[in-house]
Amino acid sequence: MIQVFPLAVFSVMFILFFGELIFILLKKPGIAKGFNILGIVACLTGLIYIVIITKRPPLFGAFEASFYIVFILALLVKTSREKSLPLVASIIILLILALQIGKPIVLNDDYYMYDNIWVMLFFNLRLMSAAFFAHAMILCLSYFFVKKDENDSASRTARLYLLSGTFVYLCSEWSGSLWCLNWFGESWLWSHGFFKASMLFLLVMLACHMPPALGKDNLLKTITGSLPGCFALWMIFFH
Amino acid sequence: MIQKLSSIKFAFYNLIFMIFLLGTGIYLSRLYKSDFKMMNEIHIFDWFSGTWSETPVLVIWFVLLCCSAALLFINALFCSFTKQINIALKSKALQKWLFFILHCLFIIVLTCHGLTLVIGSKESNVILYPDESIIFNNQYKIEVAEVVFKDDINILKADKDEQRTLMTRKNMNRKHNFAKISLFKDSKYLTESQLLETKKVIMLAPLRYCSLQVTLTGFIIKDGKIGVNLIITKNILNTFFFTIYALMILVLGLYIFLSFRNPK
Repeated sequence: MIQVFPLAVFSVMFILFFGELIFILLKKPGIAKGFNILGIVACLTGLIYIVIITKRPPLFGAFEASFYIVFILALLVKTSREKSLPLVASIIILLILALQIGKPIVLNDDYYMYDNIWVMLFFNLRLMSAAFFAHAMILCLSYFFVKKDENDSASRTARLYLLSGTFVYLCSEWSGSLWCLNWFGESWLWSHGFFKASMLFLLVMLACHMPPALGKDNLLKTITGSLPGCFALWMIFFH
Repeated sequence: MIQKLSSIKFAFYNLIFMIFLLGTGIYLSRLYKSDFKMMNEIHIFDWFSGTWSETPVLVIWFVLLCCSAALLFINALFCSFTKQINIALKSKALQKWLFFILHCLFIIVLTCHGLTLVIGSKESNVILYPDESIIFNNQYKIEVAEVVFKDDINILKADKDEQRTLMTRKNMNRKHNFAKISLFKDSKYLTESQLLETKKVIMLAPLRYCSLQVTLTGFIIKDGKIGVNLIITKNILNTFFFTIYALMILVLGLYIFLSFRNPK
């Protein structure tokens, strides 16, 4: 039962979000919305399972990450004031779930340091920030297809979600620095993990420091706004 | 010149260059694992001279990264104090001031990052068994009085990869295993060492005394005797760095909150 359950929940979740996409394409928004809500509920079920079995929040590994990121992302898409295109959101959510395909549907090894608050905050907030960056990516991609006069305020909202993701990400990094200090005696070390973490921060900075001349280029704006989301997901699923 | 150095265009292209260097760093850190390990264990100037003859490409990469970071620092400094402060003064809106403060705090965090490279002292891989001690910086004596490891000692006998799998919360309780460590002031002017601090040190809970930190990184076993692996560091910036870093995050949070309420 314990082994079958996560696979069953993951499959149900995938089918529900896939169903949402189908009904969006069939232009039946009401039914698509229903599938979306059921998908979120399935996601929540998976999260409750992870918390009960491991006695900790989701932290690491593709399986835990896919449930947590999709759950937060789906909530962000639902509650966001600036609405993204449902088709874009649905495709991105399915792509994130697809990143789990081929990987073992198991919980992450329960490393003995996972009882430490700073370790938990570091990993958990990193996943949460990835959801925020992915949401900014959805908004950027959505606005790419929106009329030009609506684009300015819309891209401002995407920037705010990018900054919100940075806020969560920096909280994670702050906890991680404290973990590093308690483990290795220094707040940071030269490692590929450090380079990746810094790169993600710089990618956000890049998106927020577009020269006005380049900022008029919609494609470039979409690419720079989407890069942090892509990179965060790559870092989590292929680290 | 200042106009150019403070421009957003300069920031943008410098950021691209820095991202490229960090990307290269990911690749290089996999290729030259031991050099990067050494980078964390010895002083950066010693690493510099030692690595130049063996792997000059790493030194060149490192110098370029430092230059790019220095340019980012200059850009942020000039931009904050020639442009952002004027915008804040003119508009008087809290949001603009927060934006300016955010950049100032970022400059301090970046400076701390740079300074931690060159200041402070560190002694890595200090292996001590019960009743053994070490002198650090000719100033302090660190003595291990007792080592207690209550979990299965086969975990310590396993190789590194196997250890990672064995070290689960079920097999190993961080709080049960400790080393009783004492820190003494040790100077040639003192006839007797002066006890400063004693603590049962567990993993992730080091002994701290002012800016000195004794960190337990692991337990080891040799000839049936259990010892500890320690890292001793002295860095006066740690508390300041973490406080400013936290403040920067708080200011960013407040800025985002206000921006959501007033998007313009």
